[in-house]
Amino acid sequence: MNTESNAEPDSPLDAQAVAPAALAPTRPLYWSVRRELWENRSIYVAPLAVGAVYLVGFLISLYWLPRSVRALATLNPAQQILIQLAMPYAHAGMLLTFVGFLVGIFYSLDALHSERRDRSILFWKSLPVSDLTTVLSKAIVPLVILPVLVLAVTIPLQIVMRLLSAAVLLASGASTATPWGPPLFEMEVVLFYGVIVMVLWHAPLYMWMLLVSGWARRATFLWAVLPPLAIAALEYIAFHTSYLGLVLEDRLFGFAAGAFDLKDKNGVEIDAHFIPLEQLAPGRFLSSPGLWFGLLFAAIFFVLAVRLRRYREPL
Amino acid sequence: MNMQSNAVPDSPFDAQPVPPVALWPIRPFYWSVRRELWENRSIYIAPLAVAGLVLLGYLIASMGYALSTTNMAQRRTALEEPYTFAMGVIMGTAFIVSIFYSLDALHGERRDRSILFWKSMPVSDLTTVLSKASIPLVVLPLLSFAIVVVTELIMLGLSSLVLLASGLSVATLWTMVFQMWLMLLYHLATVHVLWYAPVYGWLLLVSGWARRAAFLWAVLPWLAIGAVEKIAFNTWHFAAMLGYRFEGGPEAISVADSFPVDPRMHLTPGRFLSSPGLWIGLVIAAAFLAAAVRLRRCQGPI
Repeated sequence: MNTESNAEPDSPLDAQAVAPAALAPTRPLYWSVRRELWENRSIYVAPLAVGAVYLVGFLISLYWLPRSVRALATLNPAQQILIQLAMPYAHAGMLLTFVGFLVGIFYSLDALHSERRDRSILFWKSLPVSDLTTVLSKAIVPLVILPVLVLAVTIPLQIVMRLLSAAVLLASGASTATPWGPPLFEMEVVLFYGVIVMVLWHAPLYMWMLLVSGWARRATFLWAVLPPLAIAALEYIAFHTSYLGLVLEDRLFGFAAGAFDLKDKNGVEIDAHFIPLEQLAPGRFLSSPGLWFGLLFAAIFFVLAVRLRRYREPL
Repeated sequence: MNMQSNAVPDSPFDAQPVPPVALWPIRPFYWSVRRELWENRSIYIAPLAVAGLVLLGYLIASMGYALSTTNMAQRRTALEEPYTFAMGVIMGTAFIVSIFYSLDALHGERRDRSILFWKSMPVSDLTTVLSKASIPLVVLPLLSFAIVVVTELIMLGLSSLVLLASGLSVATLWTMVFQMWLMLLYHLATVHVLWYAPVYGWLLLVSGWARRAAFLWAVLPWLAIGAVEKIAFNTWHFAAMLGYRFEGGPEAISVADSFPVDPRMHLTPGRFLSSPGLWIGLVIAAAFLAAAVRLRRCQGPI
C-alpha cells in the first residue's frame, strides 16, 4: 500500500526520489487526472474539433458579413441589432457548452466501467493509489476539467471571430463607427458564469452516471436512464401526476431559470442570445434549495462510488 | 475458412455430422443471433421490466380507481385509457435499447478482446454483422410487439372481468385494442424497421470503427455539420433532413401530429413505399452495413 515499503533505499538518490512522492498527497491525484486525459482523448479532442469546425463555418459566413451588417442598420430597436450581432458568438458558446455536457455524461458513464471491462482495473488497483483518489480524479474531469476546457476553447474562439469580422469589415470599407460585434467582455462574463452554474447544477447527474458506471455490468446508459424514466412512467400511470418527471426536467434545464432573471425590469422576456449583465442572479442561485440538495445527492453518489470500487473487479 | 478442410474424417461417425452444417448457411446466422441475446440480456430484460412496471401501475391506478368509483362511464374511461400509454412506453424502451445495443455491438467485442475468439470461428464477417443488425431491425420490433400484446392481453382480461361484473359490454374495448395492435404492427414495420434502418446502420458502422467514445463519434459529426451550415449559410437544410428522418416516415400515415396507433389514422402504404426518402434511406443503410462488414475484417482488439 505504501511506496516506501517496496522501494529499497539502497542509494541516497533513490531514497530522495521516493520521499517527496509519499509526502505530497496531491501527486497521485495529479497523475490520476493526467491518466484520465491520456486515456480519454475525447475530453479535449471533441471540444477542440467542434470549435475548429465552427470556425470554418464562421469563415465561410464572413463572405456575407459586410452586407448583413449594412442591413442591420435598418433594424429599429438597438436591442434587436445587439442580438443579431451577438448571435454567432452565442451559438458558439451554446454549442461548445452542449458538447462539454455530452462529453461529460458519456465520460462519466464509461469511467469506472471501461477499466473493469478491459481488465486494467487489476493493474490500477495494484498501484499505491486509493479508491478515493481514483474516483476523485474521475469526478474532477466532468466537474473541473471539462468546464475549464469549454471556456478555454470558446473564449479564444470568440476573440478570433471578433478579430476576423473586424478585419473583414475594415477591408470592405465600412466606417469604424459600424457596429461589428457585441460589447467586449460582457458575453464572456455571462459565459463564464453560465458554465460554472451549469456544472454545479448538473453535478448530481455526473455523479449518478459515475456511480452507475461503477456498478452496472453491462448497458450502463440503460441502467442510468431507464430506472428514473420507468419510475416516472409508473407514477404517471398510477397517480396521473408527473412530479418525478418535473424534478428530472428541472435538474436538466432548471439552472437557466435559477441563475438568470429571464425577464427584465419591464417584464419583457429577454433573448437568450444576449443576456445583459444585470440579469445574472448569483445570489438567488446560491440560495436556491435545488442547488444544495443537488450537491448533497452528488456527494452521496460520490461516496457510494468510492465504497463500491473497493469490491469491484474485472467483468 | 471451411469446416470440412479442418475436420479430419478418420471415422464415418465424424464425417457424417459435418456436411449438413456446411450445407446450411442459416445455422451460423441463427446461432449468432442467439449469441447476441445471451450476451446482451438487456434486449429482453429492459422491455420486460418496463412492461412489469406498466402492469403494476395499471393495477394500482386504473383498476383501483375503476373499482372505487360507482359512476359507470368513469369506470369505463379509466379502464380504456391506458392502452396507448402502455404501448408507447414499451416501444420507447425498445427504441432506446436498439440505439445503445447498436452502438455497443461491434465495439464491445473489440474492447473485451472476445473478437479474437469469435473471429476464430467459421463464421464470416457478413454473418456476424448481419446477425448484429438483425437485433434492432427484426428481433427487437418483434419482441416488443409480443411484449405489448401479452401485457395488454393481461390488462384486457382484468378490465373485461370488471366491466362484465358491472354489466358493461366489452366489445368496444376489444375492437379498439385489436385495431391498435394492427396499427402498431404497421407502425413497427414501416417506421421502426424500414425508416430507421439507416440510423441503425450508421450506429453499427461507428461502433465497428471508433476506438473509444462511440456515442460521441456517432452524434457529434452530425451536430457539427448542422452547426456549420447554420453559421456559414444561416440555413437549416441539414438539420431539417435529420429531423425528417427522425420524425419517422410521415408518408406512412395520413394524419401526422398524433400518436401513430390512433385507430382514426388512415394507412397509406402505397405513398410510403413510393416515397424517395424510404429508398434512399435503405440504400444508405445497405452502404453503412457493407462498410461495417468490410471494416470488421481488418479490426482487432483495442
